[in-house]
Amino acid sequence: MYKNLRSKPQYTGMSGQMLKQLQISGTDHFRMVVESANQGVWIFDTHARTLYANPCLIEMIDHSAEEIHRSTLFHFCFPEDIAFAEERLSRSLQGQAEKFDCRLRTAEGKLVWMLACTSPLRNEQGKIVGVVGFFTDITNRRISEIALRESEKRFRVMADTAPIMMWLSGKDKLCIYFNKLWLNFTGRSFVQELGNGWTEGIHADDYQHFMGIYMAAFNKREPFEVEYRLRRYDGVYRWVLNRGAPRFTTEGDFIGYIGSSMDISERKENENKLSQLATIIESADDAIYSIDLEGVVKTWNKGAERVYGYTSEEIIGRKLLDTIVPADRLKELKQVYKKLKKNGPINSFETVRFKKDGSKIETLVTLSRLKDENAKVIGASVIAQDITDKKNAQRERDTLTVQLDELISIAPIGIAFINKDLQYIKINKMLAKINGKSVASHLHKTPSQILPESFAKVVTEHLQEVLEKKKVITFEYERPPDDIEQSNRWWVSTYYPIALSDDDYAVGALVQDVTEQKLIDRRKDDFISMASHELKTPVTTIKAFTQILQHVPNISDDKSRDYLLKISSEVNRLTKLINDFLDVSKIRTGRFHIIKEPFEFDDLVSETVTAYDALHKDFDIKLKGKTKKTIFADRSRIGQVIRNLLDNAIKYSPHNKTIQITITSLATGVKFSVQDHGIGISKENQLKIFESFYRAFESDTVDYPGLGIGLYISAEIIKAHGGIIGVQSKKGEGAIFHFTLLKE
Amino acid sequence: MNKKVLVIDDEKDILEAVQIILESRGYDVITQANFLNSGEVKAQKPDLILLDFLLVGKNGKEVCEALKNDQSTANIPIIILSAHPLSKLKTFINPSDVVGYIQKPFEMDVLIAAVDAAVS
Repeated sequence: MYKNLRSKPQYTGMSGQMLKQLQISGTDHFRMVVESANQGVWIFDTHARTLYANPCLIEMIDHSAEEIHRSTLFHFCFPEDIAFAEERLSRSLQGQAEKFDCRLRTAEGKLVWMLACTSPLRNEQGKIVGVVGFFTDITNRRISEIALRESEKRFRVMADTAPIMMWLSGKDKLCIYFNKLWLNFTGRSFVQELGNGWTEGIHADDYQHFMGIYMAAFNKREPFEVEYRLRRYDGVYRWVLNRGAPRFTTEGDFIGYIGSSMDISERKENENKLSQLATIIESADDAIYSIDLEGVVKTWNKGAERVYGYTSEEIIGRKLLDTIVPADRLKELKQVYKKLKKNGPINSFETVRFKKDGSKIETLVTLSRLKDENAKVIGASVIAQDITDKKNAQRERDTLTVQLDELISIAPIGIAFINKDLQYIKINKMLAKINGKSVASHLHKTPSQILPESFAKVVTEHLQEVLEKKKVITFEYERPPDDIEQSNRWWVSTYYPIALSDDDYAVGALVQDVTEQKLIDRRKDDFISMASHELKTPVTTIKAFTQILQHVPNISDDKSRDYLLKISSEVNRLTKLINDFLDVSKIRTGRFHIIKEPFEFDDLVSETVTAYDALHKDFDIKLKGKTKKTIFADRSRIGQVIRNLLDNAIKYSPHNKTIQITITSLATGVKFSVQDHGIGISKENQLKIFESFYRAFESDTVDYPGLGIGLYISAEIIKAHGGIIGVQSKKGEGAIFHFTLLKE
Repeated sequence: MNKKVLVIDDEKDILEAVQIILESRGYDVITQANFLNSGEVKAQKPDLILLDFLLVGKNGKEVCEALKNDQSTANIPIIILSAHPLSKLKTFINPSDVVGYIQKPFEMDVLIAAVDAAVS
């Protein structure tokens, strides 16, 4: 309809008169209101020609009143808006109220945005005769709207290029925007995400939590921050930190939320790691703490509390030197600080620390530099381990090892460890001595490099057998005289396998010198053979005379008595021998005792000499000297010694039958000596005659019967009295046997 | 003429006993308590020597050697009279130097039989 109108000639103006003609009634009062209204009032006829424009409108569109009254609305409209305005006016001409924006131009061509509210103008008969329009200048509002749109456009560009995921929601809490990064992240389309679509990506376990925070913040129009897991395009849930803030218009109207989300999975993971690390540090048995370069404690874990007894509250902020470091370790501490400030490794070190209770502990300390973001050293982290028990155990082990080594070293048996290459790895002094070489010269040598050939062969064979069969071998070896030993020696060796690992074995060797045992056994054998020989002599006499008495005819009674006396005398000799053997047995088993009593020494000597003189008429037995001393000793045993010495003197003086006995008084006691002029004793034998029942009976020397046992017993008796027995002699020139006795 | 037996033993009771026994069997018996040299023996001209193995200052081995080394005594038979075990004696004395061994204590019969055999 207005299209038709537009082509019609334009009105040049409108007056109250014309309104009257249109039969529109009004009062002057009404006119006054309209004229002074603060809103533009524009009345058109059915051809959109101006019937009336109030001063406010005229001012708003800034054309002359005449021009307005001459023209239609469309005359002032932006060409793009004419069709739209025509349509709206037509609708009002048909009876509808309309509300629309349209752009008008001022006389100077300036744009004026108008909000037009149009309604039909009816006459008194109710016929539509035109349109009444109320115009409001909304230019400022529209400009700001455009600016807003522009800024939103810019926002979208920015948002889409931002390195962070972004979203917008409206007042209704539903999301209206997601940036590209968001869509890339979720791998979903904008449409899928719109509204509540995006919440499908929230991890089921986090949904309630997220929604709770989002809703609560939304309702209060407060910013919020929440972490939750959001499904990524590849189906993997990633931790995201979502921050939201309410949006308001410039007028302060709430219009929804804007938010950003970022993938914090890595950070979260690091946080987890850090928290695990923190847990580890807290729960560690070792003390873990940190200090600054002044040695002031900055952190202190539970382990440190346990090790040092200080709680973290007690020690943080205090210096090490005032707490756990003893004053005598100051130098060490200073060196550590010095090292800290330099580059280069800081080696772990063992030191002594105080506990809170003042007791000392030994610690193994490991330091690492702590640096700030500029890589400047600001302190150190310290791990300290309480090694007191370990050190004590170590010391015990060391001591034990030293003691064991010492024990092995001084052991009276030979000990060696030999590796599978048959080299001596360890050898003690005794075995080295047995082998005739120093300990050091054995090491890493084989037996064949150390021992005489024949012996080395035996040793090597046995070592190889132990290594092959992994069994213990014991063998006896008699080593003939050689450069090292001048007489035969016997050893019992035990070789045993020592497993070092599954297939690595060494040999432990225990070597016992049994030469002494062998010699003792020999001496025992010698003793038995000597004893039987000694016994056989009187037995021979007894048997011979018994047989004579039995079988030889015509023996006179006197002769018979003489023979019986001889038999009796030999029985006494047998008895004495048997007593001597019993004495030897007592001496050897530690059951030989003397019973001391005071007696006149001179009396005992003269009694004995008188008896021997009577018995051995062919000998010239002389006694010289007097001691006039009462001594405290076993009288019968001392008598036994004197008789033994006289017996020997007589026995070994086959030719010169002078025997001189001398007794001398000494300051401390008495001295007895007996000198014969018999066969004498070689130097070599003089050393041996008092030892046990020494009696040589070897391949090329056969010594004298009965020599050993009497002297052996005599020596033991004198020793038991604290006296000294000895001999001076030359072979073939007789001998002087003597002994001394203490007075008391 | 009676055979003459020289008995050498450092036990004088044994010397006496051997003398009584051998004399009862018709031997002339001379005794010595020790041995100095072969000349001493040669002077006695014994038909047999009964020798104790262990003497004071000398042993039977030395005596045997001394006698065998002297031409004038080398052919006198020797019987060893000893308390030592036979096995041991044999290791010391050259068996060709002696005609027999008699163990102490001895049986009279054994002594007589040995002496009889040695001088016949």
